[in-house]
Amino acid sequence: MRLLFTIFIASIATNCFSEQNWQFSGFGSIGVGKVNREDFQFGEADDNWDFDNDTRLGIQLQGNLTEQLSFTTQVSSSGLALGGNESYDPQVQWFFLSYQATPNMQIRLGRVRSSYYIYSGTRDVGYSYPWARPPIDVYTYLLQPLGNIDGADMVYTLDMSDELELDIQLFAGQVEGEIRDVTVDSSPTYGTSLTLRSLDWLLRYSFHIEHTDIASQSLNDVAGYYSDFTNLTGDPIFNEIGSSLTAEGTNYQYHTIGGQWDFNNWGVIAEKYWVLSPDSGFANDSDGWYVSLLYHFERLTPYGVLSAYDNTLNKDTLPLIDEALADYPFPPFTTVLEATRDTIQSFKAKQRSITLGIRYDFMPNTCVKFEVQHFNFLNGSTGQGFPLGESEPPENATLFTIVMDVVF
Amino acid sequence: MKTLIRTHALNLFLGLAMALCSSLAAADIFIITNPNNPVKQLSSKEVRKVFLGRLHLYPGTEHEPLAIDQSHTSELYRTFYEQLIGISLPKLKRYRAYYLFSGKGKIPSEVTSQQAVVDAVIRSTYAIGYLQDPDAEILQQVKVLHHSTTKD
Repeated sequence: MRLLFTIFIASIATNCFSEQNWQFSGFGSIGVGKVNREDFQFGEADDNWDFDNDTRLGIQLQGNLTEQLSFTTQVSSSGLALGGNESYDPQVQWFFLSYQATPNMQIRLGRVRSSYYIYSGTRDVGYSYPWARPPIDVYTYLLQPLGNIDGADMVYTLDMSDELELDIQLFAGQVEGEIRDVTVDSSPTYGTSLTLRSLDWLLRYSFHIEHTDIASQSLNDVAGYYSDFTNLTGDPIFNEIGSSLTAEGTNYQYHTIGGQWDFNNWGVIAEKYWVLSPDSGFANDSDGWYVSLLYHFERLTPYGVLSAYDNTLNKDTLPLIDEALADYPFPPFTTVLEATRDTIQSFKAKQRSITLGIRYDFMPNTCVKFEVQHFNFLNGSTGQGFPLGESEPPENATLFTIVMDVVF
Repeated sequence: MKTLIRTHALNLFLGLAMALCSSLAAADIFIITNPNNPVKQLSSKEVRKVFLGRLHLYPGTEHEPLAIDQSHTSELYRTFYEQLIGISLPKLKRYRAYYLFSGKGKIPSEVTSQQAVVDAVIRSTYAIGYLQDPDAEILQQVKVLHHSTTKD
């Protein structure tokens, strides 16, 4: 990043450019959200109307250093803080130099948004999509802190016919982020995305391989106990359980497919993703999908979304814990084994949701959205939300959102 | 010099043809650029790609098109995008927000009058804009890259 900044400064110093070459723009969303029950929290939303879940502000500067070389940066601030940052901490989302090598080939170097999904690049820009937020069953909270890649990408556009184009993107770089107290470092990460598009529809496939280290202070401490247990008992089962709590250089594969189709006033958007992880060690199996149908009246766009999300952490470790509990049914083994089981269970999430909402474009570049999203939680999980207090986990919850989006 | 005269003669002819046709058709839209731009013409597809940000360099050159929009509240803006580009204005707004903030490039700058488009094109070699039913005098100052007649 420092090297890129140096190149940027050097380019400015050596190129005459006018302010006409530069474009300053921005976006913002101010939203309030509330969950219908006291014993549950979703993102930053609980049973009180709260601004943090969907309130964001961003500014962007882009301009030409030469005719073929341009610079883009975007900084945004969000009330929703899921990683190591605090609410409303400014985050650099884009910071790259772009070189237009040929009319059909663009190379970018620096920080770019990862390209998992159709709206990954504009996730913070509420005006760019119909919903209050992209469907959370695919645009999961787990991936949000991992949304940027520091590296390079190349996009080649192939003209297929008069109205049809194929964008081929290749990328490589590094992703770093935190989720709760878990640190994720994917270096290298690389992959491709293919987008076949016309004016009215697009089809998209994206594939990422992430060579990942995962560490957590709490899980590392627990892994230390298993090492002691192995030394104490000589039983390899503790080693096996302990090794499933961290990942070092583990390859995860992310696959996503998606499509979007506009037909007269109707629109359909659908995406599905799945994560493939190795059979042993810190294994996170996850998949999700959504289908959204919308209809454009003049300024009103009512919409509905059906979606699902499943996440399982270390499902092969749970039988090992049961086996160890049967063989060592006394402290300190039971204490550590049961705590490990609870931690693994806390990552388990299975939810189905239905969303209804309406977008109203009441002013140029400004819209307001009203949305109701109902979740059903399965298999004793609470999906991507968190139970509050000591009561039994809820089986369902409803999230109400009102958000106003603007671009300028 | 001969080329310049030929270009002006062609533009004058197009202007007269436009004037004759204007009583029969709803509108004639001219895609214009600076006379010093080496590009001679653009196809409908290339015009569409320029104004949707999908053509980053003029064909056969290393020069970036600097697209200029008419006022977003003008009837010409609506006609141009809905009939020539083939995209409704609400969809264009969503498309532009998506395009602009996903690091794909810049969007056309907006000016408030036909004359401002002409001024911008005269000022910048690689500027490209669109005019409706311009008079012959204006067409002598610019180069026409494409001409379309919109539906009634």
